[in-house]
Amino acid sequence: MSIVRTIILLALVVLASCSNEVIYDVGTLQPSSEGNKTELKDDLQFMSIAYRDLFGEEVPPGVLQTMRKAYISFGDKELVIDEIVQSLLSSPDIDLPSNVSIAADPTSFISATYRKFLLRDPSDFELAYWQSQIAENTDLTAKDIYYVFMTCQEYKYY
Amino acid sequence: MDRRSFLKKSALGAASMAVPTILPSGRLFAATGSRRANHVVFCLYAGGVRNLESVLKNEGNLMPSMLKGNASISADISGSIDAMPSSPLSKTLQEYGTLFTNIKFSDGPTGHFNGHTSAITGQHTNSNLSLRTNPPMPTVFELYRKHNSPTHAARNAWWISHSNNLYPLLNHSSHPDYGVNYAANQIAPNPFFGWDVSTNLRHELEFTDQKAATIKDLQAYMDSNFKKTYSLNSGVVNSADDRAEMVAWKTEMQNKRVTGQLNNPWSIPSWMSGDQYNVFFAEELIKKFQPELTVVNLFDVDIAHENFSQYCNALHRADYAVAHLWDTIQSTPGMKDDTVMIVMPEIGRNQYANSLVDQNGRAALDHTNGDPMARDVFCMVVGPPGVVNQDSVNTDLGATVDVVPTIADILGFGADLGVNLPGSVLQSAFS
Repeated sequence: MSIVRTIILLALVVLASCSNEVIYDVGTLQPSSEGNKTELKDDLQFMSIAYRDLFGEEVPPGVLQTMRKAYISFGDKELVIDEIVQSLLSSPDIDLPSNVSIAADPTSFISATYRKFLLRDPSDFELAYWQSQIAENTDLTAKDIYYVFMTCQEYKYY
Repeated sequence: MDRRSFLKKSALGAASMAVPTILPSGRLFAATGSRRANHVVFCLYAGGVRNLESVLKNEGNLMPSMLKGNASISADISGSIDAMPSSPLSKTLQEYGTLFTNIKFSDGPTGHFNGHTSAITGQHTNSNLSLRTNPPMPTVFELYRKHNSPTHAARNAWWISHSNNLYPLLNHSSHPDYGVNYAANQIAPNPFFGWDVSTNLRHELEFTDQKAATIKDLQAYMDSNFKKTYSLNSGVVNSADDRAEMVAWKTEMQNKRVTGQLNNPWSIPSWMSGDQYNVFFAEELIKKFQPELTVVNLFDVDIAHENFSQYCNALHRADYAVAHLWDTIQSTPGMKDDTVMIVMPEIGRNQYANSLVDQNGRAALDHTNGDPMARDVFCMVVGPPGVVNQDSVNTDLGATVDVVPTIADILGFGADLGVNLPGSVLQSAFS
């Protein structure tokens, strides 16, 4: 009995001594990158900025009027905003980076996307996250990633 | 994965977070009263209608689908009245229920927004009512949603306005105990399904199942880094499932628009008016969602400010539309024989004309506070036999603010209201 107990004890000691890796636990802390945005965009601001971000020019009055008409004609504003974003992204006139160029230099694409939509640089953590996502999900297109950015909470603020 | 499935999946997380905020802060249980019917459609035959041209038939029977009688239309305006198809109903609408001929808009300015607000809130208004913000008193939609089971989601309450001019504000109030969390879904179909919106805003991204899941994860990641909670700009909140159904329906309507399938779908000999299109879309919505509470707004009759004959023509066109709506309700599973429809103008119009004269030499009509005829309207309550008194006319004095307590009574939450309503249930309508 004592031999068995001794063997188990030795085994535990050996197992415990196998790993000397130090783990730095950050506990419940979460990276926060709000970009000092405090004000919610109103409907016209959101639509104007979304158009400018995608097309690089001011929204034509007729286009803004159409988007505005849709916005005030339906009560579920989140639904309408999502539809507007999708419609803008579906335009053939948007100049989108190709998957090849994104794969060639994901860091530049990620940084440019943060600056384009969120008006800030990504944190190191965000950069690493997006690099891994693009590497892992090779079918992700610029349009998909723009959709994620344009429907995120931070994009609704300025 | 189609757009609908993606919306359901991607919004699931957000919806589950939103649920606690849309639950009533007070009662969380079903209404205490029994229901007379499970659906109410309130048709605001609005824009200002005088009893003279409607139930009193001063110009003949301009509303032959709704009102009994064969009185000929006045000869001098008859050429301005467009021919409509035969009524889809086997008898006049009034024979399906009770016609109240002595209803008063008894208090407040005789303006459209005041009239609409009073009809939808069941409260009197005054000149302090803001035209820029939601009304301070709860709407019938909020009363319905708050004082019923939590399962009565926004998809069960719809405010279908004729236009975007002020009226979208009436899907909820700014009342601290009610508000947007109990709002109705609001839609102004004529602009929303107009050509420009339908052609430019119907494109949707398509995602495979795998990509949809990836995008959902990416969206969750992005929002996890941003601590502020996006609060909608006075928008109603729907569940993920309901939102997906609405997107599918919206896309179906828009596709029909751009492919020409919405060009005169009722085959009116001349053309379809704004009111008729509004009712057409209300019917499509009713067929899709079978809401428990629907308020449909008509407005073309307000042409009376400048053209009396066209006002009469708008009454005539709206008459056909309302009959068509009742016929659709009776052929919609879930709504048939279980719906009470209420038809009422929000205000009347002046006895004395203004200075504008139309092509037939008739003077136009405004609606000003000092004119008693601007406060006289009719109200029609129709429904299944055994629930609503059939083919009945009631001349007792009633009020436009009676409609909200009547709706509350029909849907069984009249005893549970958290606000005092000045009106009374139109009891004599019911068996």
